Amino acid sequence: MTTNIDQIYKAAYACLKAGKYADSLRMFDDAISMDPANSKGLHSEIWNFQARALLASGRLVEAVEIATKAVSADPRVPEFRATLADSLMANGENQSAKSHYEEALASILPGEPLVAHIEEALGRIG
Amino acid sequence: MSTPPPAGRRVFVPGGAGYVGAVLVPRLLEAGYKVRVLDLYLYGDRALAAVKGHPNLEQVKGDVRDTALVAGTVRGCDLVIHLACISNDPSVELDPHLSESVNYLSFGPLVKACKAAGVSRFVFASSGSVYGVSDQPDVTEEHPLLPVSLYNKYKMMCEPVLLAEASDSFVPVIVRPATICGYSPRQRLDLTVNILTNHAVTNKKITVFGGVQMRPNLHIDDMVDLYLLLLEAPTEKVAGQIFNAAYQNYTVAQTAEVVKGVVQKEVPELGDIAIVTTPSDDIRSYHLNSAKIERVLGFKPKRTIEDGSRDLVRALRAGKLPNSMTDPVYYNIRTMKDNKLE
Repeated sequence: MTTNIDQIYKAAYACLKAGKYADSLRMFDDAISMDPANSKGLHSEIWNFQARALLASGRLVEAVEIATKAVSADPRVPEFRATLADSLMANGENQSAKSHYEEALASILPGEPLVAHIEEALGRIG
Repeated sequence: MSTPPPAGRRVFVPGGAGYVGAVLVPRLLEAGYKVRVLDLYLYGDRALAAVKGHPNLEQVKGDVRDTALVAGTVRGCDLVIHLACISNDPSVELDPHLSESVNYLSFGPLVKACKAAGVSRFVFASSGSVYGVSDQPDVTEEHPLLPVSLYNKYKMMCEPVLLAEASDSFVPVIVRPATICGYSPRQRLDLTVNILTNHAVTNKKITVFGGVQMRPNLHIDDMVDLYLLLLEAPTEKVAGQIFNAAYQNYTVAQTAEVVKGVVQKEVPELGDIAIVTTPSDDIRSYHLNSAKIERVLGFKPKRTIEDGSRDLVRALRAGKLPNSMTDPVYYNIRTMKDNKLE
C-alpha cells in the first residue's frame, strides 16, 4: 500500500505511462491532498502530468486549464510550456500553442528529446 | 619545424562576436595576435566592447555567405578560427533553408577563400553532438556520426569539406567540443550548466526531467585555451586531425547538484535551492572521450562545472546579466526569431 507522497507520485506516473489515465489522475489528486502546502514543491509537476493524462483521455479543455496552472506556478519550465502548447494545439488554438512552444525552446536543455517533439509540432502549425 | 612566435600573426575569426568569440578574441589580442572578426553582430556590439578600439583588432560587420566579403576580409590573415554558425538545434530548425545556407553552403567557399588567401592553418569548431545518441561508454573520434538534428548534421557535413582542402601549406584541424559553460560578455543562457544556474539563482529551484541522462561539458576558458593551443601546435600533430574536447561527463542530476552547491555557497541568503526531479522515460545520453587530445597535444581542461557555474552566479549578482530570464539576447532562438534573418 502506498503511504507517502513520493510513492504515490511515482505510482501515479507509472499509471500515466501505462495508459491508466483515470487511475493516474486520481492518484495525482491524492498526492496533492497529502501535501496541501506544497512543501515538496511537486504541485506544478503533478499538474503537468495530470494535463498529460487529461490530454490523452481526450479531455482537452480540462487539459488546458490544468496545464495553465502548472505554467503559472513555474513559467520557466519548458516541459510545462510544451504540455500547455500540446493541449492548446489539440483544442485548435494553434497560435497560442506556437508562442508557448517557442518559449519552451528558448530554455530547454540541449539534446533533450522534447526539442524534436516541439520542432515537429511547430512544423505542423507552419 | 619550429613554431613561429604569435606576435604579428593575424587571425581571422568568422563569428568572433558570439558566446565563445567574446572570450576568445580578447585572449588572442592579449597573446599578441592581430585579430580580424567577421560577424553579423546580431546580439549587439557588447560582445567585444572591452577590446573595442584595440590597435590589433579589426571588426567587420557582414555575412559569411558573402563570398566576396569573406575573400576581402581574410586577405592578409595567417590563421583562421571558424566559429560562425546559427547555433543550437532550435535556432537551426527555425528556418532550415537559412540555416543550411549559413551553416553549410557558405562553408566550402569560405574555406577556399581562406586557402587562396594564404591561410596556413584553419581551425573549425564542429560539435561533440555529431555522434548523436550513444550507449557506448566511450565516444571517441572514431565513433560513427549519427547526428539527430540539422545543426549537428551541418557540422558533420562541413568536416570533410574542410579536410578535402588539406595540403602542405593549408593545415585543417577540427574540434568537436562538449556543451560549453560559464560566463562570457556575450552570454548564452540556453546551455545546460548556464540554464540550471540561472534558474537556481532566479527561481531558487531547479526542475530536472529524468536526470540520469549524461551531458559532457567544457568550461569556456578551457575552450579558448584549446583554440590558442591549436593555432601554434606542431603541424605534424594537428594536420587533418579531429579532436573531441570535453571535461566532465555528468548526468543532468549531478550537474544540478553541483549548481545547487555553488549557488547556496555563493548566495547563502537565497536559502535552500530545491531540486525537483520529475520522472521521464525518454532518456538520451551524450558523452565524449577526450583521451586523444590529451595524448596528442597534452591538453587537459583546468576548469570545472563548479567554476563555470560560479562565474555565472557572480555575473548575475554583479548585475552583468539584467533580465536574465526574459531578455532575448541570452537565448539564441529568441534573438534569431526577432531578427528575421534572410
